[in-house]
Amino acid sequence: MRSSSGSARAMSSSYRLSNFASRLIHDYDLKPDVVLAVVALAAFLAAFLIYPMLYSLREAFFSDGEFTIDFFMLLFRNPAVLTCILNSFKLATASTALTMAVSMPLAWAMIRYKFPLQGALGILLLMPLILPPFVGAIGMKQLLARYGALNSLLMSLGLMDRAHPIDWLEMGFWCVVIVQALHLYPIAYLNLAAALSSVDRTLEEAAQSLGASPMRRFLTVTLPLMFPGVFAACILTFIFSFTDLGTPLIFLYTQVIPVRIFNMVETATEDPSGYALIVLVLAITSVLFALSKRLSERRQVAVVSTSAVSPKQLIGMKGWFVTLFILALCLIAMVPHACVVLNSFAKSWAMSALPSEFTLQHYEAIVKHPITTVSIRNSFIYSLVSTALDVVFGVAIAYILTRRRVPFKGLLDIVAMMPLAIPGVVLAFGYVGCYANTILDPRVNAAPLLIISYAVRRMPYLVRACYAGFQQVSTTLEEASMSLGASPLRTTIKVTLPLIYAHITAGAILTFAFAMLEVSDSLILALNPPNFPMTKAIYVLSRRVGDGPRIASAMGVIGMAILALSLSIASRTLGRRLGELFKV
Amino acid sequence: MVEVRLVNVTKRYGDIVAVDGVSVTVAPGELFFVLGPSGCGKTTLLRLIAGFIDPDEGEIWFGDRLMNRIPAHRRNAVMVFQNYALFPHMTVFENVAYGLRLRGLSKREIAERVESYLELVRMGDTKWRYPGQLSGGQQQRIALARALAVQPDVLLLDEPLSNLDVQLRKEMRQELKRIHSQTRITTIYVTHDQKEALAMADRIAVMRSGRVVQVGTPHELYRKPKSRYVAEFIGDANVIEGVVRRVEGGVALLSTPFCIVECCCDDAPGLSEGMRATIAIRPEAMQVVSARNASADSQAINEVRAKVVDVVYMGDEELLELSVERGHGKWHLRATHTNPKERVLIGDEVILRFSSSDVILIPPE
Repeated sequence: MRSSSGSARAMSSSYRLSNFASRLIHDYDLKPDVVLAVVALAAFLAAFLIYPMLYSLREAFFSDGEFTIDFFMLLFRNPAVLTCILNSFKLATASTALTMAVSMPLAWAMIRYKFPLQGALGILLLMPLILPPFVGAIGMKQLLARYGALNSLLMSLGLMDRAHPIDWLEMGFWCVVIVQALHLYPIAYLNLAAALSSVDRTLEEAAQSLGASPMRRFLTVTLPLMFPGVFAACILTFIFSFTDLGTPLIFLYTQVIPVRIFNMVETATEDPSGYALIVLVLAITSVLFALSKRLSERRQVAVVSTSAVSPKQLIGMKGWFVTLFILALCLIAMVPHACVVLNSFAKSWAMSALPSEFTLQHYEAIVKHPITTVSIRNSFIYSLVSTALDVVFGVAIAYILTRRRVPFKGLLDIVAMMPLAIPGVVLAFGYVGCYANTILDPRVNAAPLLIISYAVRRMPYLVRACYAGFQQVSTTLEEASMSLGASPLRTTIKVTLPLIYAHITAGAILTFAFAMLEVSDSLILALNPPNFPMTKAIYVLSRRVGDGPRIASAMGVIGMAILALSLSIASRTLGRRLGELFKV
Repeated sequence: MVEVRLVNVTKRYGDIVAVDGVSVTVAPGELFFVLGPSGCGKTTLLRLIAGFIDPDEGEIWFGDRLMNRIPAHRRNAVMVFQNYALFPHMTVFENVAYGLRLRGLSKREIAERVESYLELVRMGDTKWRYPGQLSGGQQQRIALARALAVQPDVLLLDEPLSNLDVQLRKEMRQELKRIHSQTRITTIYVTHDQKEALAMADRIAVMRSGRVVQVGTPHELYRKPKSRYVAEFIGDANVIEGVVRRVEGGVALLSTPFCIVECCCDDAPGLSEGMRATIAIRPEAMQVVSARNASADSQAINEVRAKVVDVVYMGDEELLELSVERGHGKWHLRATHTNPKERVLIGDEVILRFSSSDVILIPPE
């Protein structure tokens, strides 16, 4: 009796299995090449994205195999940690508020009005994007030091008492906020501008004809319609500021979460409370990210139709006033980096508004110094390899997502986008822990993990760029090619890839540029000088007394030059569409 | 020239049956239309023939070759898309040469063939331009040249003229007919525009929710629709319900609510006294006579007195909306008054007359 029911169950389950198998074959195209690609992608993402996160979760919640929240209790009872959490929140909020206050009027002016030099300003506005805040902070420090450029200028103008200079750097918090906001406003601006331009102007006109004043129109029609974009911009800014390691570190504003995590790396393998902190950060960023994603998915609803209402021409003084305002903002945003450039050429720079004597000796030092030359070479190698990895993965993932029916596609999509929500400090910390004492141990040779971490963190950008490309290429073009007799592979090579070439190139160049100036992964993972990338070398040099900060500045200038060069190539391939890559 | 034969072809998307047991044979060299409203499954049918999707059931034959599971690029059935699908990164020349290169033609042959097919569509001077620099009508011609250049066994056209303006559309109809008569490629043309179908087709298959409801020449479909749906979808029709009173010598007499209708019933052998029957009369088959000059009584044959409710004056004709009242009932009729000399006004009484050969007897469904 029992055996027969058992066999019946076995039969029904085997039936279900075969049913499932036939559905797999029928509903999906499981060609060997696709299966292989999916498995390879899944393995990579599992090893270098999922596993480190799970490892951190396990370390944070389990002690000797038992579930515990002790590490979190420990965290919350530690007043130093609480201060860090509070500071990080304050910092991110202030940065976001300042960024929004700057970028909203910018977006409004650029989208709704026409004024002199608008085109040039549109490009100039994006400049701070390529100026790494971490490098800018070094310049800012020079500017704001007790006997630095600003105070010297104020003193020589008689606006400050020579005996009692203000120590601006005491206010590390505001220094960090300003440097971050000056770096982030272009991203916020691009998002707000996109949101604003997608608002159907006829809706505003409808409100106007119903008698609504300009302010009322803005508050009741425009702002609600662009809200998802505004929110997305806020979240992006907030997460960046919340997890930025480089800027607070340079300003010695150390009571924030990322710096605390950085300081715990040394003891990562012994002290599990570090993982609790990691998990906390991850939880916060994930929730924020998920929120903004949900809202941005609703964004499409707002677009009813694109209207042909053209921007209003500002004539005479009004127009030039807007031009001057934006120009001033651009110049202010570039002050920190201008200081870096000056600093790199300065023989000495104290007690004066500008360096008193110029020299090339810091650049000579770079050539001579073993750490610096090695680090530049390292950065190039790491960035190139990680970019190559990203191109392969980005194209493959985007192709599978847009063109193939495979099971668990939604999951692949989510996992491929996950790095956006995972801060560099979190991922790097996870790597240090879970790959300790393996062949990938960063304490022995950080190169593989640095390359992988760059690749993983920037992968979403390439996936997104390629995804957008594949989506833009109408499938009817591919069908046209196939109906003319081209095989799917040939169609991809001859029709699809040439059409998304610009997307891939631009994505790759951006990936490369950002990898060159990646801060948090680099600072955490590069533990031995032979593996130092540029950013770590800059950090180490900037802390050295004497000419350290100047050599660091010279390194920063070289980094910015590489970045500017890459981006100018990218903008040449992409033209006006470059901006699209920075949107959420 | 290849015959295309569909045998009981079915395609489902989840619970929706997009194409439902379609069996159709397209003769070699025929210009065959698939006509139906949007969502009736006609484009799905075309994509099944092209090979972009595979049927769940049924067979697709090109001549004696079974095409099921053969991918699109090995079918030599070329599709022309509604949005033309010209490769934007290639010049006109490269677009047309694309399929030829795949077929391993020599450089000279390719150049010659591109040239001659661009001539065929009268676009010889656009060779080095990019699709983005061409107007919609020009793109349409290039898309056609690209498809024809590979000398396909079957040409598939998916609403090729729907993105063009009215004038261009009329022009392209003539062009397509000319090109088809020059090339004689078996062509399947999908459209929702019945005028296009009537004007161009050798034969038409009318589709409705996934099924083919009738196949025939334009003349057959217009004169002898087999269902109310076809009668109303192709052209316009006054559909009237009646009861058969007498059948004699190929002529039937029906009583309808407002007149007695005499019609031919050669095609309806099963018709007998007492049966309910549906008839349709085209608006243009109605002769409009002013009621002042004639009288009509309710026992008159093929004659109705009606009141004008609305008039649309078009110059060459007047479209009349009419109402007929009998007792408590009220019916609406439409008539086309061709070459109107005197204006008919709203509120006028008119008499509608029609010949018994213009009455369409629709078989019971």
